[in-house]
Amino acid sequence: MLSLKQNVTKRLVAVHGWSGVVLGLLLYVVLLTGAVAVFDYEIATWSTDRVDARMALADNATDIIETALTEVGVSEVERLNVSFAHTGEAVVYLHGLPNPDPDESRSVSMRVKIDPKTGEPTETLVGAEADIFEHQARILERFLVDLHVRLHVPEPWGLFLTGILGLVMMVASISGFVIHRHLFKDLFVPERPGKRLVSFRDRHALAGTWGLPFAVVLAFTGTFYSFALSLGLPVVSLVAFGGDREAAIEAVIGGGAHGEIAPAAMTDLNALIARSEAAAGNKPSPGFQIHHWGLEDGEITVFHSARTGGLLADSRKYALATGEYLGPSIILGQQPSAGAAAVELMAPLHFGHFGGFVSKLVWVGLGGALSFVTITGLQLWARKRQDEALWRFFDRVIGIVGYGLPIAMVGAAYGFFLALALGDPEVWTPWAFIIVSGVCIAVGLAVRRLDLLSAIYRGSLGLGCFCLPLVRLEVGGSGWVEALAAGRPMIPTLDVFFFLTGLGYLVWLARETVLAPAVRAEGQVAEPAE
Amino acid sequence: MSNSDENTTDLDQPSATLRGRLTRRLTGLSDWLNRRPTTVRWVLAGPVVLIVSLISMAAIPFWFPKGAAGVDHLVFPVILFPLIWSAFFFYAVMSDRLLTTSAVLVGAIGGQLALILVMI
Amino acid sequence: MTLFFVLVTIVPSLIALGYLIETDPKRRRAFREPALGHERYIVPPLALLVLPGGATLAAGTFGLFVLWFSTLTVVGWIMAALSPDAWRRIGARLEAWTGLAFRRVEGGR
Repeated sequence: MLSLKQNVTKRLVAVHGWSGVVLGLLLYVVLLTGAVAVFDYEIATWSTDRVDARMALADNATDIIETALTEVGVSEVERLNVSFAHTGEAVVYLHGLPNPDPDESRSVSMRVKIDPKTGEPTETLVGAEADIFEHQARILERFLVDLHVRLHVPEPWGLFLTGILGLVMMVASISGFVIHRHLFKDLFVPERPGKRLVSFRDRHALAGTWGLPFAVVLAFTGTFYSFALSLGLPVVSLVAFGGDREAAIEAVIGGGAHGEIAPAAMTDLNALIARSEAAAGNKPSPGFQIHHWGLEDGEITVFHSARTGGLLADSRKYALATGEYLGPSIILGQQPSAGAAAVELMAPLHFGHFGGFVSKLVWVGLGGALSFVTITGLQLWARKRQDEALWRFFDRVIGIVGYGLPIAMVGAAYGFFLALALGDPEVWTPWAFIIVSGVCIAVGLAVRRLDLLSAIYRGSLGLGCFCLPLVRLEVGGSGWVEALAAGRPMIPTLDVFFFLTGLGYLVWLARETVLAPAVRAEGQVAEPAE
Repeated sequence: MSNSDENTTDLDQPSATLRGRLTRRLTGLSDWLNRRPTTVRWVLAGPVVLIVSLISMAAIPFWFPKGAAGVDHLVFPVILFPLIWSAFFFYAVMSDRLLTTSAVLVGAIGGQLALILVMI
Repeated sequence: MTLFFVLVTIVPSLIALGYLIETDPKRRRAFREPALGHERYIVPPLALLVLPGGATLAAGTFGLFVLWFSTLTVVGWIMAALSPDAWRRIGARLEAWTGLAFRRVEGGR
């Protein structure tokens, strides 16, 4: 794209290639699982399959709080959070409660779950803040998201690793842009037929060019999420606050007022949430957060997703004693700032959840396209060096990982569903992933002919996807009519998606193996021009 | 390069002024770097660039404007880290003059380290 | 509602993109397509391509802009990645399914 000296170009080509060869396969894992993780909420809904309708907050917020406070036995709470579990229950998190052990000065947190039908508490859990978050019902989703976020490597190394992968992706994107000699001329030139080296180059360059803008965006935002808390905050707190992490967090997020605050009666919460929902475009709120419940400086942030056409969340802040609207919620600091806006922008740009289902679908497309860029780049590198045994083996490894990862992810889903009926999904979801990966690797090393290997992989993936909804139904998942009636269209949607994906792979396989001779006899492809 | 070598080879000559000696030192250093360009570039683009970007992240809070909410100087170094790293990385890879590049990177480390030590 | 806005903004851009892809000289050379019988317009399709994105920005709907741009990169890639032959097959199939004449943009045939 840019005219550079020959030796500079040579170095950039080396950086582009070697960064891919060394870390490209891991990058592919992060990208493909990231594409899947876009639908994390939907996967959780689909896999846990609870279709109980949840309560409308505008009708029940007051009752939910009262029930939780009665259950815990306090009237004032430092911090309080209400959201919904995938099981339909309202989940109340209460933080900064007095420790039941009089010798311990550290405050504790509590989680109270409330049944949506009866309004009665079903479960109460006491513990440290980090230990009480709800995980139970989301095993499959959490497994896939963890693979994307930290490749299941322990803290903080997993985040460091994915952060470095983000940097590698940025380097590969920018160097790819710089070394591409005909970026605009080749913008519309598809893969030239014949499966020659130039075809692989076309394929990689075309996908890479179109994917470039969002490759940079996703790499940048992803690196931010990996490094912000694992590296950035420690470094900044070290220099600016002498290593006092708490002080750094308080300065950035803004701690509440200290000292004695008078108790006060709280405003009607149901009415307040109804008002907030009306102001935010009549969308039901998915939850809210409260600071200083029962005190006169109490505040509530009612969460709302982005408005139609908007990018940032539309959450609103109110005073709890008066019900007065205090302005849009700010994630950092006490008033709007460029820094807070920049941090807020990271979320929609990385997760793609600002436009509901439509934007999520596009983000899956971006993730898939960038996975494709990674794999084709690796293939191009290996095919260029086919006369060396090492790179022929690498070519095989690319195939094993390229197909093995999606097959193992589907395998993890099987493990989850089967264990749901027979054993412990917490144990068997990761094990199924590992076992299926192992089988894929073994088959990949054992089968000598590459075309046969690819056929085996495609067949397994197709069959695996096609049968997955049947297994879900077989182990007691709700049927389509039931799910639709309960307002969970995601369940049949994902079922249909797996059916069609599976069918697509099987048809593709059938056309290439069974029907291939007939197709070939039909007519030779014209020899293309360079 | 060879000219300055000729001028300053003999230490007994009165021409071994400060400027002459400095030139000779730098030429020697430049030669040393250019004899092993690949290793030098690996070291520069790898660990040195990483240290530069980490130190930049640590130094930014001391001079960046705090902004309306008093958080900008803490938030932006964290957000900008990937960009800072990329910029220095491509500089280290693409620059042709190893001596200048080394000087800039080492200078960035030294200067910002001094700033941090003074301010802390 | 989001879907409606996305369609309204992306469809004109994709039509313009389709014209640019179909008439791209290097693409035609690479696939032995006959030379374009007429002048290739550049400015009008480019204007049509970027106009919806500009409109979303002018309206301050940054979410729609990001959505328009990201959709353009994904769908644009797929459109460009399909060879002229693949497009003809898709066209023929559409023709067969709908019974409608699938008019090609080019004037060459």
